[in-house]
Parts: sequence; C-alpha cells; structure tokens
Amino acid sequence: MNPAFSQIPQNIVEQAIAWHLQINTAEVKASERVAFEAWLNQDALHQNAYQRVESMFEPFEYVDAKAAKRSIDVVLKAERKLNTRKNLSGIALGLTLLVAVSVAFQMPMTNVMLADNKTAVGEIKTIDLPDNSRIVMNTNTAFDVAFDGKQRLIKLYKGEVFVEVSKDANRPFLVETKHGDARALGTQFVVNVESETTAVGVVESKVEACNAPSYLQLETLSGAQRACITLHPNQRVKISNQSLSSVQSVDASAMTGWLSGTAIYDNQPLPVVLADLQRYSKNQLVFSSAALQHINVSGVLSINDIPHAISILGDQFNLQVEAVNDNEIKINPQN
Amino acid sequence: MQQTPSLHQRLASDFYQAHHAWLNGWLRKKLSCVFDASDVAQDAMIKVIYHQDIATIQEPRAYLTTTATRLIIDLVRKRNLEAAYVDALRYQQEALAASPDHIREAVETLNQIVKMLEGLPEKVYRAFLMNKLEGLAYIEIAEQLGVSSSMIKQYIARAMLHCYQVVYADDVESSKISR
Repeated sequence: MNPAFSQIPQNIVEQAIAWHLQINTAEVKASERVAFEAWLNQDALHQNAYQRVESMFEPFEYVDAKAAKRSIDVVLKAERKLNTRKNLSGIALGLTLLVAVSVAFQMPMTNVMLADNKTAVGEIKTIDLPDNSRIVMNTNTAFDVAFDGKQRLIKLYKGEVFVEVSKDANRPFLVETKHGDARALGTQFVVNVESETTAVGVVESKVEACNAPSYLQLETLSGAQRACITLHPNQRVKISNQSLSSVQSVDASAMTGWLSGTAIYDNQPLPVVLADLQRYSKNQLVFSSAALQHINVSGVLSINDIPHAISILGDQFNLQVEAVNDNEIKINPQN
Repeated sequence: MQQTPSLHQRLASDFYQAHHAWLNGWLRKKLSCVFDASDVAQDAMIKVIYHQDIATIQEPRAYLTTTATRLIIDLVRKRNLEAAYVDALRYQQEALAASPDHIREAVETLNQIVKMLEGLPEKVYRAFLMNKLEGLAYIEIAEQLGVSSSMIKQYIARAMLHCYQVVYADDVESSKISR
C-alpha cells in the first residue's frame, strides 16, 4: 500500500464523510453536485479519501441487511453488557468470562432478549395460543411462537414449558430448542432446556424427540447425527447436539410438580436437587457437589420460597446453611 | 532487520518446541470443552511465528496467551454472529436459500462490521446500521431512537469516522508487518 495513501489528514477524511452523507440523500441539488465535483477535483487526497469512505461499505452488500443488523445488534449488545467498563478492548476480557458467555449465549441469548414470551426467575405464567393450545412457562423461560400453514412451531430459547396441544391433524406441533425438537403426536408434554441438553418428558399420549446436530459446532467437532425416538407417558429423554440419552422412566407428576408450585424428587442426589432449585431462586446457591454428592433426596419442596426449601433440606440432612452477602446461600455438610 | 531464512527457521522451531505444549496445556485448562484447544494453540503459534520477530519477544508466554485470547474472542464472536445471523434468516424463512458458503462469508463480513463499530455508543452505532444496512432515512431513524434527525446525521458521521479509523489503521499495521 502506498504510504502517502494511508496518511490522509483527519480533516480531509471528515470532509469526505460529510460529502458522502450529503450526496447520498434522497434529494441532491444540482448545485451541490457541482460543489462536490469541485471538491473532488481539488486534490488527489480528496479523491483518495472519498474512495476509501465509499469502499468501507462494500462488504455490506453481501449480507442480508435485516438479518445482519439484527445479529450485529445482538452481539454488540451482549458484549456491551459484559463489559460495563468503557472502551474495554477485546484483550482485556478475561477468559473465564468469555467461556461463560459462549455457553450462556449460543442460540438462546440472541433471542432471549427479543422473545415475545418471557418469565422472570421464580415466575410461572400461562400463555394461550391462537390454536387453543396452552403453554405454561416455568421460571426464567423465553420462547417465540412461529405458526404457519404447515406447522405450529414454538422456539424455546431457555427455561421450561409444559405444553397442552390442541388437535390439528394438518399442522404438527413442534417445540424446538438449540439441542433438538419435540414433535407432539398427542397432547401433553414438558420441555426443559438446560445448558448442555434439553429434557423432553411426556405426560399424556406420544411425543417424538429428535436431536439437532448443531450448525454452530466448529468443524472439528462435527460428525454428530440426527436421531429420533418416540416417547410414551412417564418417559423422559435428554437430547444434546451430539446424541439422545437412553429413555428414563419418570413419573409424570414429578415432571409437572412445578405447575402447582412444587418440586418433586425421587431419590435424587442433593447437588442435582440444588441445581434444580437454583432455577427458581434469586439467591445464588453456593455448594460443593463433591461434598454433598452422597446425600439422596426424596420428597416434595415448595418452589415459591427457596430459602425456606433450603432450610428444610438443611434440617433434614443436618447441613450447615448460611446466608451471605444478601444474595448468596452457602450449603455445606455439618462439621 | 531481515533475518536469513535459516536463522528464522531455527528460531521458529526452537520457539515452537519451547512453548507449544505449554500453550496447549494452558488452553486446555481455560477452555474445557468449548473449543478445541489444540486448534487455537496451533493458530496462535503460527500467528506469532509468522508475524513477529521472535528474537525480540520479551515474554513469549504472555505474548502467546494474549494472542490466543484474541483468537478465542474472535471465534466466540464469530460463533455468536453465526448463530444470530442464521437464526434471523430462519426467522425470515430464508434459511433454505442461505448456503453454508453464504453463511461463512456473511459471518466474516459481520465480524468486520462489529470490529468497526466496537466502542461506539449504542445510539451511534444503531443509527449507523439503520442507515447503512437497512437504508432508513434520518427522519425514520430519528423517530425510532427518539432524537432529532440532525442529531442522527451527526451520529452517522461520527460512526463513519470511527469506522474509517478502524479499517485504515489495520491497513497501515498489516502493511508494516508484511513489509
């Protein structure tokens, strides 16, 4: 590159930008055009500067404008959220932070912010759909409805939904997550998006669950295949981008306890229970999985008051439960 | 300060021997399963070996981790852009028309644009995108962002100057490196 070319004084660049904006508006007067031509011909640097300004926009022509705007917006916003400090350059971002983003951010974040249906932590809400189907949203959930003539599609970005499907032989009902989809062949089922997997459980009739090999995976990781399985009542499967789990048998009432404000556990390790309760809790539950792994929990807890539920667990299993900093609850085995 | 190829080769090989395994281990710890650590390690090594005068690097490991971190940031961002873009296309039901090649190129372009706009206030870059990508008039943008349209013009000019500085600063730098 010509060295003189790369050192165009800023005031000339500013003029070039001003002209670019002037000339690219809807109504340009003939006199303005003349003035612009005169400016251009005044100096080779003017031409260079103008050329450079124009060529900045060449890449814009190769993308779908709407989709591009939406995705740039989403990514910039998400990154901005992460770094509240001003003008933080990329390098200053910590790695731990980044990895956390990419996990939390994959498909969901994009849409979580823009989703039409959302619940806050601890909130449960019922949505009636135009086809008379009904969706109950569990805590911290976000989805969009995308119905068309061929199918009834629910895009579940995060959280958990209970779906009651109204019959429509011509339009299948589908709940799609970043890990795969669940197609209703009948009426009632539950879909829960977790970080690495989506759990699909059937309450009534039948559901076909399929995983979706992610187009987001780096090429080196690909090779995953799509697989499907038909589930019957009281069955649950976990789907990931890589595979389907084996079918677990889970009581339907345990899967849907949250509909009536309860969480039902049948011989679950305490860390699993705490991770589940965390979904409903504004307080951060702090614990060491290793230290609590040996404790198994069976029983019913209220999800409307998590600190209370934790204290019940504490009494029952002789744990040391301690509230710290207003927003954390520490759970440790008693010494 | 041109080095003879053989000297550079020897330095590069020593450098690789001395740090590659370490960098790989460092990345493995940092990344868990999110990315293939060995790919990033390899890319970072290549980047440093080919673009830097190795003999002058004071703290090679700090330098390598910085380079690797940048690569990861880039990868994460591209992945996020891809997810968002594909998803937005799908939303517009044009996914079938978008080939993997188109997506790949689009992600590169989007990444360039994001790099250009980084560091600008939200209203400024949004005004810019609405105008340059969506082709909205100042008055329409003004309505959406709740500021006057003369302000919008200023926003866009400011964004353009910023973009210019980012785009052409890179040029100056890369022309220096490739010499």
